[in-house]
Amino acid sequence: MLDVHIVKQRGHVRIDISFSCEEGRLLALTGPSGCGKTTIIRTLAGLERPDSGYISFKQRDWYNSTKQIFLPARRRKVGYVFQEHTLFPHLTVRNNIGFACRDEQRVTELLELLRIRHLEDSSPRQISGGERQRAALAQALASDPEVLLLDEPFSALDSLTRNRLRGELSNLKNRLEIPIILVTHDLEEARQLADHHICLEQGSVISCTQKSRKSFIPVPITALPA
Amino acid sequence: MDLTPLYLSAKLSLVSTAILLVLAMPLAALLVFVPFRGRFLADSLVNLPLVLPPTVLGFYLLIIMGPDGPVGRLWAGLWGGSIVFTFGGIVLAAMVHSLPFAVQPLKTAYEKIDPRLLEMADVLGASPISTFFRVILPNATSGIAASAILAFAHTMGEFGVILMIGGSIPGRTKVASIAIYEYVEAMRYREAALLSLILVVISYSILLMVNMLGKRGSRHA
Repeated sequence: MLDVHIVKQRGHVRIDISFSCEEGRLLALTGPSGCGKTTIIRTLAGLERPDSGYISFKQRDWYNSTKQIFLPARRRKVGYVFQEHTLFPHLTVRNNIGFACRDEQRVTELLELLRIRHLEDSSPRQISGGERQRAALAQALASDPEVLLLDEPFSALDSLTRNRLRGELSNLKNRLEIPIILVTHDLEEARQLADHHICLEQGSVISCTQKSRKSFIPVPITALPA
Repeated sequence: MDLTPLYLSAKLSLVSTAILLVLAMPLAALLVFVPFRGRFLADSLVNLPLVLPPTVLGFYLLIIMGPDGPVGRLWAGLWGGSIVFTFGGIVLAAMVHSLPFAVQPLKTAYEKIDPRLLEMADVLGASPISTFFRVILPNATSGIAASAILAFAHTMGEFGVILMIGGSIPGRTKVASIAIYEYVEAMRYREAALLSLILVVISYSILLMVNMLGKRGSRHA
């Protein structure tokens, strides 16, 4: 279980949020631009430090302001897909995926899982946005992450590719059995993929819903684990 | 005409550039990526040889490398004898004088690297040293080449500092620029003109290479 309580002042926005996410569940954070979504996901990755609060995974502190603990990003074992599907430009697709994974067999499996085996020797400059997104996802998964963080992974894609990749992510979720945090500004995407959906405005939670069979039911904000 | 000074200049430039690059690559990374107290002062110190008169730099190097200076004593302890008026001495002096020419292009190249690549390496579990070798250096190849070329070219034309540290010992410290100076002093203008022309051709070729690298770098950016 990933347990989070983050307080962080960023410009004029004060982020104050608490949530939990279990293994095999996908939690979506939505909200308008500038509401603090990306900052939250960056603090989970260890790329930014909150002002106070805690982040713990399986009872292990990643960050705790009271105990003065801050685990650097490289020791958190998270997979992070950046908004722009960043890949190392000097490496081929295969070597990008293998950056954090020396097991060639595992890299080949991921290339096949995400249907980019035919691109393994291509440079990131030579492939399309959808292919880059798949490669970025494979790269994030190659290190066997314990938590997967996705920052607007489909925002730069056309609607056809977006729909196809959403389906792939939905299948992946069932196979991975790790907490997945998805940041998106697309409410439809959040409804389609998420088990829990938190809507933010100006850094604070304004609504929280949980998937129940085919629909989402509201959960009181005060009922969020903190 | 004796071509030994030209050979010595080329040898000095190659040796000092090779050592300087190995030192400048992590030094530039330290100045760009690691926030530390006094970084601004360290950055200015690296650039100091750009604005100091070579004689002033040579004077201080002479004191540091002299028999009572820390470098002079270390050299004597390791290999015996004096570092001043030796090839090793002028290599060290050339390295200090060319330091900003090696560090500056590297800094510029490092600053152009997308910071998300470094964050990505961090999230993927790479240590800072691994990130330096696997992400920073491969994405700064134009800067590394420019740094090597500029340091080489600057050392080829080195005069004042070399004269202060190495004097003008034929076959050991008498490099091309010092030989030209002595030819002129002796009114042997033909030799001076020929040696100068060779240096002009070398320097111009080097600048052409830097420009070509710059164009390639901007195309790839």
